[in-house]
Amino acid sequence: MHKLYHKFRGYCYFILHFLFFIILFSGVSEVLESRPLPPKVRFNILLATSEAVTNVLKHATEGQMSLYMDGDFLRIFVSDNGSGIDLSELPRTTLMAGYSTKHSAGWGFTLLLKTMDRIFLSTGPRGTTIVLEINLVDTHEKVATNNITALKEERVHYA
Amino acid sequence: MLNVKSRLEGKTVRLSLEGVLDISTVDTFNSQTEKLSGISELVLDMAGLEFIDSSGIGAILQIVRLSQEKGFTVSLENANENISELLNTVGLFQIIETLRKGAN
Repeated sequence: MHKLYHKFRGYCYFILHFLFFIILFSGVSEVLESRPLPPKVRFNILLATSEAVTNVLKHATEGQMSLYMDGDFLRIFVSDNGSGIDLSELPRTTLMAGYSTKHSAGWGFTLLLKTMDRIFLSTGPRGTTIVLEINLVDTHEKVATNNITALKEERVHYA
Repeated sequence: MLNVKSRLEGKTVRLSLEGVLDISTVDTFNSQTEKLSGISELVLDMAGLEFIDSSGIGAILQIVRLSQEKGFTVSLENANENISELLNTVGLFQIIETLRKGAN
């Protein structure tokens, strides 16, 4: 009976994961479809979101994700109710490629740092929040078509 | 959503992956790879793979470890440009290549 309960719990957990990822990908894809982006940038955004959400599934029991478009900036908020990242583990967890406190590849944070423009991390005993930020104007395609130069000049303010 | 098709060609197993390989589908992948024994080569055909993240990469690394224990080689084929670049970034191709050279 005990074994059966664990099996059932395992199935529920799997279904929850599955639903969460369907919602995740449809949600992110919907936002990304609202503007033309190079496939590589889309892939990187999905990758970073997947890494952040996977951390929630591995280290906490509840979490939430929200996406915001602020002008050309896409911000993805992912938060959980886990026990947070221990201060002594923080440098290795976030900055060391291949380091993991769980039985996993340990590449999550490294990939976030490689794919996003800015990352904000707040962690404590009541949970962790991570904000992923990417400027959708600074894409390789725009660089290739030289649009980026004009757009960057527009953003320069002289005192 | 991951479809894994398995084909045995002599002592080579070809697993064709279609869809997404992440934490939500990694069990489907593992259920196929756990059965492997008595083979000399495993080919992971990624032609239909649209997305992979570090959970999927971790699952492939486990296979690479298993290949060392059970004495078979692992090859990755037909990964698209984004996936190839990611696998290069994490050094997966290099690990497989180094192990292959060590075995020869």
